Order: sequence, then C-alpha cells, then structure tokens
Amino acid sequence: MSSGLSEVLSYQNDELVHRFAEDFKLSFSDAQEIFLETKRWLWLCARQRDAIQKKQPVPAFIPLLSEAYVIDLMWHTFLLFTKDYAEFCDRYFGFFIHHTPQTRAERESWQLKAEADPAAAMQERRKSLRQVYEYIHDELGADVLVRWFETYPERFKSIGG
Amino acid sequence: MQNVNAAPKEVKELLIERLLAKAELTYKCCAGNCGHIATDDAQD
Repeated sequence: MSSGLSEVLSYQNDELVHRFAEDFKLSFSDAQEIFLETKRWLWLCARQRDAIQKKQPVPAFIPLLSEAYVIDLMWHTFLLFTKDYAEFCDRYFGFFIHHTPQTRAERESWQLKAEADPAAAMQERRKSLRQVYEYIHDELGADVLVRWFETYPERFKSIGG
Repeated sequence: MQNVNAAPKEVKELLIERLLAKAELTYKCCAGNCGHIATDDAQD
C-alpha cells in the first residue's frame, strides 16, 4: 500500500535537485519545483498500481508523455541516484517503480502507422492522451494537469525534449 | 476564455479539449512500470 501524497511530497533530496539545476542551468527553486511534481507523478504511478491490484477501473497504462518532458528529465536525474531512488520507492510505495522508455520497435511501429494514415494516428493519439489527461485530472486536479501539460512545456521549453 | 458558468464536468471537458488541440503526432514517452504490472498480475 502506497503512502499518502503529502507524505511522498515531503521527501527531500537537495543533492539531486542541485544536480538537476546544474545540468539544465535552472535555479535551485525551479529545480525544486520540478522535483515536487516528479514526486507527485511517481505517487500517481504507485496509486495506479494499487488500483489495478484492487481491480478498480483505471487506465492500464499512464505514460509520461513528451508533453510533460521536464518531469521525465527529473525522473532520469533521480534514477542516477540509484540508492536514494530505491530507498524512496521502498519507503513510500513498498515496491520499485521501474522506468520504462518507449522502445525503438514501438517508435518505428508508430512512425509507420502515422505515415500510413496520419488522421487515424492522430485520432488514436488523442484518445490515448484523453485517458491520461482524465486520469490526472481526476486524481490530482485541474491545476496539476495545466501545470504539467501547458505551463511547464512553455516555461521550460529551453530544456524540452 | 473559459466559461465561468460551466458545470465542473464541462470545465474539465473544455480543459481537456484545449490540451488535446495541442497534441502532436510525433512524441516520446516513458512510463512507470504501470503497464507491466497488469501483465505480471495476469501471470500470477
């Protein structure tokens, strides 16, 4: 069973926040803010797993999309600190949240689909995005949805994907 | 401009539609192990 959101958000790791700020030339406070949202994202992953195990109706898959790339980048930095990351997952969620990037085969398959029928591919992409957006909206609220997918891509476009 | 008189469900829908309008065909994605858990559970 995962910890509550506020407990997860209280986790601090200044070393990794400094590392991210240095790597991407951001202020410490900006990096700290992105780390806060990354912890929120990881909590959502854990919550979704709990819901799946309880057979509750949740999306089977909630990818962190390029629209929220800055959070993925912070996750990558967290993963560099393997010991801290493993302890964080164990302490707050009781299991390890693996990072699963899109594979080359998945990218190529999507590319073929998009080239063959762009309209159908876009419809599929919007359907998939809608599931993710609705889930985030319902679990974390409209403010978080706007922050991750509208505010951050613009505010942090210099380090975007 | 968001309709301030809209019901919460409509506000949510308007917001999601606004975000979906920005969707691009080419994208990257990473995921937590969420997708794999369902598979693991199915094998248990």
